[in-house]
Amino acid sequence: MNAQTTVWVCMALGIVIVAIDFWTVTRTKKAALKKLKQGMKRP
Amino acid sequence: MTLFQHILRLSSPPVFFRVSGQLLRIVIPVAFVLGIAGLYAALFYAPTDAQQGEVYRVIYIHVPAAWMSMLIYVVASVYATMHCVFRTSVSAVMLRALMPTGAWMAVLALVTGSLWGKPTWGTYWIWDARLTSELLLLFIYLGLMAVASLVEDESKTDRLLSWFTLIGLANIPLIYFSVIFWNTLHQGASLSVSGPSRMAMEMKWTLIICTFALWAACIALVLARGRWMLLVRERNAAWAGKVIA
Repeated sequence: MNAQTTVWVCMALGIVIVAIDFWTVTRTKKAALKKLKQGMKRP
Repeated sequence: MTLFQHILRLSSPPVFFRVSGQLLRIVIPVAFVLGIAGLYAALFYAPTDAQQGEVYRVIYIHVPAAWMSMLIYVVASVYATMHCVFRTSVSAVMLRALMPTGAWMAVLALVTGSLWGKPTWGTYWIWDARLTSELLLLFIYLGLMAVASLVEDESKTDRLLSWFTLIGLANIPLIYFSVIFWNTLHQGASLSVSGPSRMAMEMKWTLIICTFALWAACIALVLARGRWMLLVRERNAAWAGKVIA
């Protein structure tokens, strides 16, 4: 892998990781909404 | 109102939920703008390094990610201390919300570092003090996430998580000072707050923009995750009922 490809791969990886973390946040939101709609009572 | 009173006010779940929502409206656009500016500056504006050539540009993602992985842990430790003292649900939720983002930043720092290491050092990995302690930080994050998900009793888990987080804090100075304590392959700090900088101005500003971009992105991710977790935890409270309605 040449130097420029390495740099582009690293930058792309940064964007992908932030995007994956954002996706996990949306999953947390979906799970939260589902729980709230179900009206589950706290033990 | 004193700073302490402000902090106490933010420990109230409805206040935190409202303030974090307002903050997100600012932080998300800031992260986007700085991210685009940082990427442009890192790839096209910053000059080529005289010694390393083009590959040095990896620092614009590697260094901010490494800093964030440590900073997030320090912030998590502050929340852990707050939880040990005040036992607020906001501190417990924020402690849990910080862990995944911190772990991702450690992964990013380790992978980009090893991709940079191959052309520069001739190897993807070496059991150097800085690299090993950063890998240990990733394992600590993963361990804490496992603790958070395994135990059923929420308040007991929060207490355990807080104490384990504070124990793991010992690794942060180890990472930071590893290049000073030991004779490592990893170079020392390029940026210094007190002393003169060894970087060209264009490089320095590019690094600062990239750092703030990742900083804003992490704040947005943690706040967004934290407020949803808080709403689930407080779902039987009156304020949560109003939000859901």
